[in-house]
Amino acid sequence: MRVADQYLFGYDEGHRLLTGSRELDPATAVALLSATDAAMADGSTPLLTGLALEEESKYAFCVTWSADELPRPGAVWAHALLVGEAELSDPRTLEVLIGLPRRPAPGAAYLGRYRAPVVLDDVAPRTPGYLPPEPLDRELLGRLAFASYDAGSGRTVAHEDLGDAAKALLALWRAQWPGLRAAFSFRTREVVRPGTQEFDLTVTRKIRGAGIEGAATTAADGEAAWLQRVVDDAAAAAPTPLRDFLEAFGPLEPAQPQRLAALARLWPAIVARDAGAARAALEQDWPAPRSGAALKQVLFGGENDDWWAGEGAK
Amino acid sequence: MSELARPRLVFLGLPRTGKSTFLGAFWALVQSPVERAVRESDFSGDRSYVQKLADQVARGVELDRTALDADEELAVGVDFDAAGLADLLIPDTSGESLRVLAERRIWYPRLLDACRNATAILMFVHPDRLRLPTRLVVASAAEPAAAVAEEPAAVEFHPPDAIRFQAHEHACTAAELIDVFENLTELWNERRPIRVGVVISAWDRVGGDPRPSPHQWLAARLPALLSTLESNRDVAEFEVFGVSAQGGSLEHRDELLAKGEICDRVFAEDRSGRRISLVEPIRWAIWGT
Repeated sequence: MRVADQYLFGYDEGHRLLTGSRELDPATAVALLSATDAAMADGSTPLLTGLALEEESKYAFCVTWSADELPRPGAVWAHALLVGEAELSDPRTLEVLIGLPRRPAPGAAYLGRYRAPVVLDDVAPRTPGYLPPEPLDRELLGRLAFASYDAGSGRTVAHEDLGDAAKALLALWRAQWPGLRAAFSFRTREVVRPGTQEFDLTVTRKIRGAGIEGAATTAADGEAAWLQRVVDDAAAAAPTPLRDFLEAFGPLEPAQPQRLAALARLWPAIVARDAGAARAALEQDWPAPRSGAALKQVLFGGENDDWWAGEGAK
Repeated sequence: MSELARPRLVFLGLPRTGKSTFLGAFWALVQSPVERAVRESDFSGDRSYVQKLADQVARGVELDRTALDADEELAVGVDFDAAGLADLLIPDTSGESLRVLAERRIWYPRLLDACRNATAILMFVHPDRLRLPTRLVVASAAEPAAAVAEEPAAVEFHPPDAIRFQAHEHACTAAELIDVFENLTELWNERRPIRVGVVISAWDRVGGDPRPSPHQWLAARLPALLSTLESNRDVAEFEVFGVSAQGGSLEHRDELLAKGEICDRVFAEDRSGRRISLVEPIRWAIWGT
């Protein structure tokens, strides 16, 4: 049975944990308190946070809303869901999880809705109410992928529309292999300062001191074949062959965003059945003799050449 | 020219104790041509955040709360008349980060960094938001304690029942701030003494006949905190101020704005109740008496 614990944060003489389905240890409580609080203008777009809690082997998925109806300016509501890697591994439960966050509608019994754990197997996936209806912004998705996966890139992207950003972030996160997904922390924020982010990816409307044009990262490598493939896969309604490749070999790599780029750089050579280019990619990203051993064995070991059979033909 | 000071001040206080309001009012005074005690000496850098605070103070509206993950600060070169130049840095810390320390006994990382590097602390208390100690009255089921009825704040206690204690509901303000002070002194082992000023915000709301001075108010309302600070002068220099960084109540906004510009309506008092500039707590925190 796959279960998510849930927690509601809100304003009660300060931003507080109001209720939850299970007791939190102090360090996790403080991490969630921080992850769910943010500066927001009244009526602004809900903010998204994904936070890997490595010590607890848990992952917190949170949405924060401005609490315009409360008298204290800057008060927010936030719904946090806490799951393990197993809940993030299954595509269906992942979709259920993404659809769960809901803004409280204060009334006599609103706290009661957050006091029990959610059995993910018993809930049907639903469209998240906190996302805009507009189609996915592929150009933005490319910028986010580059910022996340390119080793030389910054990890902060400036973008005016944080609703579009949330949609693109979720597409990117869904397309990762489960181990990377469970380790990948991301967020959208109204404003951040440069150099202070501990997240793998932050999308913000404003980088303090830089203005909206001061995006720390852009998809300078936007025409690269690997990046196009990553965007195509993340934007696709159903997983592409690249997703199969990532899910086959990603778990053999460290759960680091840059390893996705390494695999994605290799993939076009495989699709093109270009052994020379594949060898060059392996030499670049897996230079040590034993690194990427399974990958090298599969591609050049003579035992299994399914991956050379052409895109989608494995 | 006097030597450039590099003070690192930290405003500490539980939520809604007036830290950001004071920061906004201070910045408004720095920029005001009427205020002669201080002026800006370095015009570089991004001031948009503190400018927003100053604008909100000027308009007499309640400031947005400072979010826990906010990473805002005032970083400015200032010139204090009769004192000198200072390259001033004041991070705008959220009250929640102090509450995490007081109630969860965990240093929030940004607060820890700020306090480790601090040259002075201004500890904010709001006179309307004190949690005073609760009296426990021992009683039996057969004979309820009469004192509970006479003293609504008292809690009846029936031995051998356990006393339910939640820090966020029951810890009194003085106990929380003393605990915070003890945590701070642990950080400063290598470099004592440091300055710790208590800033009583919303000072316009404190009445009485005769009206108490800030020191008298602290002695009456938070005596344990006062005695802790006064008996630890080898650890921290201590001072107390009353400040009205809005100059009146936001509930009577029209009256407040009718008093004029920020520099016309905000005020502060030193420990004895003598009127001083609102920038004086900052000047004291940088240079002392």
